[in-house]
Amino acid sequence: MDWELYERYRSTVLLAGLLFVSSLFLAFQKTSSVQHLRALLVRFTLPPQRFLAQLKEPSSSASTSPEAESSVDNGSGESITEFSSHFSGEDRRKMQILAEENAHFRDVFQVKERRWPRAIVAHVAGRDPQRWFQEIVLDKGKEDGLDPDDPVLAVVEGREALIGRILEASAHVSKVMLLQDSLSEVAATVPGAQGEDGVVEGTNSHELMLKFLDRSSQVKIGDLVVTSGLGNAFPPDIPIGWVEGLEPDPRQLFLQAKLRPAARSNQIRIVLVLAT
Amino acid sequence: MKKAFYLLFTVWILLWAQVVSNHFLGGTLFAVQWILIAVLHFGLTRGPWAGEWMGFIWGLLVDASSLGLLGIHAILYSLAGYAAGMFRRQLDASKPWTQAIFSWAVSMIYFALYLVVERFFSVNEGTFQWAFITVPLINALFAPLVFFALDYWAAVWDMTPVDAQH
Repeated sequence: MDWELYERYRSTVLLAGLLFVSSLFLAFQKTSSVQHLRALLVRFTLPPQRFLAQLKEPSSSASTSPEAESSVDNGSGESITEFSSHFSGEDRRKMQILAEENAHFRDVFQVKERRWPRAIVAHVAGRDPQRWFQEIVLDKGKEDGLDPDDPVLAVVEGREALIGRILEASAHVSKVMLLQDSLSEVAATVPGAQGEDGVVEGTNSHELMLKFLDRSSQVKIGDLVVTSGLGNAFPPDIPIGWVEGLEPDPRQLFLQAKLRPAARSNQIRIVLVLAT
Repeated sequence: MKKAFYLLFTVWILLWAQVVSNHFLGGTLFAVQWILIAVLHFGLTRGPWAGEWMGFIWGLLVDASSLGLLGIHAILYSLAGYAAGMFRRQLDASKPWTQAIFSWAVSMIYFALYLVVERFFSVNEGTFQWAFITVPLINALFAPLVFFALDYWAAVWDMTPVDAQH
């Protein structure tokens, strides 16, 4: 019985200590010692995340069209489809996944060379399920040249799309605030004759909202929305999303457009960071 | 030495399980909190001391892996381990129903506290999500499986707690 009481007593003391230490971590998030501890812990947790970041879901490989498959060359003049026919089903599937991954890498590097030669390529290393639509974690940080507020792009079908900006950067990892975060705001425009400006805001879900459009706006469903470059936070003409619906805002003063993001945040594996 | 390896491997494997699970199910209504269930297992089978330490270490690793607030999961998992340890004399942790109901209750409290702590320390306002309702149910569903797997894992290492040896 005494042991029981002693165990309860020491456990309560330990709990108080652990809560105190955790509260210190929470209160002093930005200090260098907490950042160092975080960097140390990240080294322990990064291997599984890196491994997963490089995996591609098998279902996506099944959706590849035969034309797309055969267009991927293995370097010896033989298409991947022909080449992989020599192998068993499982090996073939792995090769197709690798081929797609290579094709995606090629896309990313082509966009980098063509449009953003100074951009830094980073992998998505993880994300917090509780902040799924708000943040992603990249496997590169300050020592790789990333800084807070750098724009982050994904490459979709050979074209870049804005997905957010760097929120915090430690030595080797950094956190990205996605456009879907309700705190995110991006100056945007709908290109065309009118060139109507607005602000794209996140909704903490898949969708984005383009706000402050004039009530007589000519924006229509299907229009592409791009960054306007106003405010200098993001370069101009980077696609953000397409208009999916239009409605008056709650105060009936403006129109607001529901947007489908140009890059679905669930499918992002590799990103380009426009380091300043 | 053997105990240290057992604990190290347990921490590492559960961390992998959580990261893999988050990768495929994170952000959905059907995510599973493997680590929270494991913390409850340690608390219920080994007492509050073990539950708190495991909760604290796993919590820090989860915080680091998500680059969220460092310390938020350390607080919540330590509390969960402590609560489980304190209830272990009142609950029969070998019963699947007990495991399921206790996991559900702790998961609900976990989400409520998560919102409160986040509101204090983060610039982002914690908002209610439907996952706060469904994830505890999923945890309850998987709790017996996790408890069984961890009991088996402890038996493999010959680390079954003395209390649990009949």
